[in-house]
Amino acid sequence: MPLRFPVVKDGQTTEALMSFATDLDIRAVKRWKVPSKLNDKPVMRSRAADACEFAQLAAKRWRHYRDTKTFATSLAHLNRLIASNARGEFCFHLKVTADWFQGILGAAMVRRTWCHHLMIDFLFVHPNICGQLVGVKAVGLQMLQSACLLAKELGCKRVWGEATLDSAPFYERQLRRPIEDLFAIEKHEIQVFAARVDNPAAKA
Amino acid sequence: MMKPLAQMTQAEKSRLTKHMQMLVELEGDFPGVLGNKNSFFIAKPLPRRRKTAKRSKVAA
Repeated sequence: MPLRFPVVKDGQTTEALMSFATDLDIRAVKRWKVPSKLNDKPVMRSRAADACEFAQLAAKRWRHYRDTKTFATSLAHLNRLIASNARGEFCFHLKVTADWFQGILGAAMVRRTWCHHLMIDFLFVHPNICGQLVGVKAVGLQMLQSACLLAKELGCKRVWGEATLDSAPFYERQLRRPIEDLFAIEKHEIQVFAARVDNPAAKA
Repeated sequence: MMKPLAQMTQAEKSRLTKHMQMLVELEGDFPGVLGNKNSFFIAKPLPRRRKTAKRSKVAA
């Protein structure tokens, strides 16, 4: 970390960086607002409002982990926490930035559970992106795949989380199987997703 | 990790463009958020009560 990955901006491939978020980053996404330009687009407005709400909920959870000193701000920090308590539950936030975008493109709150799995609590992209005010694509999917790369690096055998009515079709497209209210990305799928983000220009 | 775009050969760039077309298709109409705001797992634990030391009576 930071991890460089490609995203699409206005139809062109460009670069973005994913890294561990700090206190300042979490405070920054907490201040996201629903753009007024979306007032006459109720579906997009609702998506942007969800992104803002998720950012606030993630910040609320972050305060708990910060106060209990179970929050990691780097991969080395996370490894230290795991080494100090193999059965401990630890939390970290990931953020995506790019030199062509002001602020944070997207973020995710992830937990390393007591049995060494990764659980994705929240993943959200900037309200301007999910509201389709800017032509940026693949940030959400790349964040999920990057979480898988991190799982691979940490030796986790599962990445899991809760799927909703809105997000289940997204997971179904990635995992090519029906998804209900729980999704699990197993070890062999983690390898596939990690490879996609680790070396995207590799020969097929 | 991915090589910087500026250092990629033309062949690598074309492979990357194809790869990104596949990813954009796979992402589809991404709702913008993943997770469940009503999840039981994200409920904030109740604050623990701190034991307060008994105040000793002060003689008037």
